[in-house]
Amino acid sequence: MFECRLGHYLTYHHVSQDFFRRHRDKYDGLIIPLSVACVFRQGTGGFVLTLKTKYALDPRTPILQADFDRQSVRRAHLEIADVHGPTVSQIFASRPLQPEDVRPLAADMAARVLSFQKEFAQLSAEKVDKYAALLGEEVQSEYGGPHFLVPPYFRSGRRTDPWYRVSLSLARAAIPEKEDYRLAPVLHITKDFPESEFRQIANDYSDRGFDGLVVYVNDLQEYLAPATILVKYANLIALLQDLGKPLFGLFGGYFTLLLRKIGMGCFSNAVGYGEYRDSGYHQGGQAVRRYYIPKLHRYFTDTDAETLLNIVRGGLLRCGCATCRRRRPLTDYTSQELLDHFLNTRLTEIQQAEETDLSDLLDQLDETRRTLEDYPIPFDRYSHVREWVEALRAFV
Amino acid sequence: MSNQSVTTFPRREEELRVPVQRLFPPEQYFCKNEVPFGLKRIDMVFRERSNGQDIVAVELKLRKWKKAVWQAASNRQIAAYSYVALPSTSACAIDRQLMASLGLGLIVVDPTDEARIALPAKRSRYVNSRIAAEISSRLARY
Repeated sequence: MFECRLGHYLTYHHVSQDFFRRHRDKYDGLIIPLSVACVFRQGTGGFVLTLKTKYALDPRTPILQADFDRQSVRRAHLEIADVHGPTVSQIFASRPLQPEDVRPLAADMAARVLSFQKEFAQLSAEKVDKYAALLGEEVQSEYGGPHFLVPPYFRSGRRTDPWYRVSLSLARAAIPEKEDYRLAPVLHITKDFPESEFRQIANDYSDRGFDGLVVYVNDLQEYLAPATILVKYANLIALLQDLGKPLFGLFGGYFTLLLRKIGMGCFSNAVGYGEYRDSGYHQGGQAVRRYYIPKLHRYFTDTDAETLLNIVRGGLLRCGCATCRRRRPLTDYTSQELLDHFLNTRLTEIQQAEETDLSDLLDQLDETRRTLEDYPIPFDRYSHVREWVEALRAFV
Repeated sequence: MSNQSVTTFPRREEELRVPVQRLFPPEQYFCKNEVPFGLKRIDMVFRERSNGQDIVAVELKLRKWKKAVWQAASNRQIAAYSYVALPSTSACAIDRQLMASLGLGLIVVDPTDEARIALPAKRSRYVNSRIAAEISSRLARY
């Protein structure tokens, strides 16, 4: 986020370790959800540390404010609560946290969450021998800490939302705890956060103790969002850029990548899914088999993607990456190949976006849309392209 | 009375099912309705009882033929022959050239409840034999 201002981070998931290892030259760092860091602490630590890539831990605090049936509290969420302290842990077991619960605990909570992150390398290294052997590398006597620290944060819907003040106080409380680390608080807002308050947000987060800012618009599904929402997001980035701090987009797809042209820096996404996230979602789920179509810059179910590829003539939507070079039905791809293809494509997208100015990138999107209009393809399969162009034209 | 029934026919996609099925009689074809494929369901799927594994898929629609064409194009991944079935009142609007270019067939259902193949489907070049075999074997159980 700091040395590499336009880095691409992946959200770490313990079931895909082989993927992260094989492709470690194709991404710049990992975001480790606190839930994974807690539940699979030694495995995660051993793996990530020996991978020697940049990493940061996402505290995933908003799950503590989510109102859901306490019967379905998962172990990972209990562990998250535990890291935030015994009072939080006790409350969360029976009900969602309220702002008034957190206010008196802010300093303690921030210190605890940052301590966990700072100590992660030291306390999660029991399995480094195993992973170092797998990677064919020597075990080091000491492994580095996170690339930056992330204070606990909550989701808020406007500046007068009590959660907004609580998050800001947690971020400020983290400053004295950061030591030599860099600190990047998360600005986690809902899609309907009033744009008229963005300038004040920028002012609130201008503190010199914040080395960077992480921006997280809740559940922003870029390919479904109308231009009105997307342009708001773009305006927020443009305003925050004036602070002169590196900006990091937590969860994002190609639209977030395009925002780099107006001030966004690094961004992250999960592999296979996870370009967006509802921070209040508390249940697990199975990933649907999805294929990322490079020209459309979004995922489709493999059957839908196959239809698109077959309908559109001239191979316009076909991918030439190492995984896709051998032509066969997408429905025959293994889950691993679908992920491999995605990461190959994302790398190409990043490179192309770096070499091309925003105006040309938007023109390319427009051209794709116009071409697809000649085919019997439901508009919702490519309507996002129109919305993205509409949202960003004003920044050209 | 009869005039009224002609002008209102058909009101539901379901009403196309019986006439379409008559084109693929049960003594010759296995038939199954609402067959899951990906995240959607194919309205009607047929397989010849006596001959091989070839599947015929039929997408029923009352009006929105473009949507039906999209779905029928998708069905080419598992069906050797993929059709769109429409009432004759809607069939006149369809772009037959487009359908032909995609290799899709057209079944027209007349107000007299008769179905006919107005455009034969071409054999699909996109059949995923693995998934087609799975569906085909499921069909034989019905």
